[in-house]
Amino acid sequence: MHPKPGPDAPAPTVPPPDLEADLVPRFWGRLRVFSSRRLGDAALAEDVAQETLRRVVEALRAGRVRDPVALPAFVFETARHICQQHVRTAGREARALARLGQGPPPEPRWPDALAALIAAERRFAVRRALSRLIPEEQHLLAGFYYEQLEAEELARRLGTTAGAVRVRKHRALKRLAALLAEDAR
Amino acid sequence: MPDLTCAEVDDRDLESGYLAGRLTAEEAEAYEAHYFGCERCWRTLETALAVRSARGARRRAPFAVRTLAAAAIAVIAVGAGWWVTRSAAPPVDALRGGGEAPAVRMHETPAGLAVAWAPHARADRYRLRVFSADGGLLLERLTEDTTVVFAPPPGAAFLDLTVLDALRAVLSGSGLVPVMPPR
Repeated sequence: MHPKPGPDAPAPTVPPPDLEADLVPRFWGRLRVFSSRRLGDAALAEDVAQETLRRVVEALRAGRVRDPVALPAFVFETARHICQQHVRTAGREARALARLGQGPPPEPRWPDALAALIAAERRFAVRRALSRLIPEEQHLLAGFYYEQLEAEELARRLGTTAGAVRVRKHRALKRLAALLAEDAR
Repeated sequence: MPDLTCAEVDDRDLESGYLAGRLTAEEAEAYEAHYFGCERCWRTLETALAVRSARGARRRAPFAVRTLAAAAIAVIAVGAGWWVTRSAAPPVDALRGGGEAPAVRMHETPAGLAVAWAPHARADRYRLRVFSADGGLLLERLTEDTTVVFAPPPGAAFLDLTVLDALRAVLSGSGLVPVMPPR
């Protein structure tokens, strides 16, 4: 029979969560969206996401990030810093091209980078799931995300309040997420 | 900017503003810092992004380009008080999804100018927009009907009829058509 530990006995240690194993599933999507918006280029966004994760893994292994609560902010700041470096480099390149008499490359566009974030086969699955929502929910999501209307305008068109429209939007998104998860199984 | 809460994100529809590019740089950065740490708000953004991307990128030619395309239109007067206009070469961006450009008919009624068209088999809604010659939007109607009546605009104007499915994807469109009063 094992004696009970005394009052001064050290608390049993709990192994730290495996922060490294969780990095890609947790942050890959976020990093791609974040970088796409800042850089307007889906391919470059992936490079930034990879570089960010590489630096975060290095920091974890060096013991620079031990508190799991601090990890999201650390990942965010690392990605932000890398994006800023890319923007500064692009600025220097544009100025160099201008000095050579060549125009700068066309401005990257967020909407195009956005469209590239979702693979073609996934888009088909999303459209299929959308078609399984009730028409009211389809119209609502179309209003928000295709027509890019604000809640007040949608509420006016539907004869209801902006608050009600927001609640319905969240319900529709939740239902859609459930349908997509069902399809993925 | 102070840390956002989920309630603030919801109340301000930050995910739809973010995807539409409507947020200020400060708002976008605060929202990004939030979704990096919040599973719930990240899932909402992820699903909203899927909805947006499912439709594909949306590209609209500048108004001036579309007006030049409309200048190629042939006008045929048919019967008493009816005008049938059909675009000769509708702009490519109005015809995603294939399908013929809808023929638009106009005639005067005591209530105003009536614009009518044949129903489309897969249409959920029709969107009719009327523009002034300098591109200002004078009228926009989203309707399940195939007729819209409105007060004829003063001066030169153009209309644009778009056939939409339930997901608001464009099935076909008339392109820009001049609004022409009877002589």
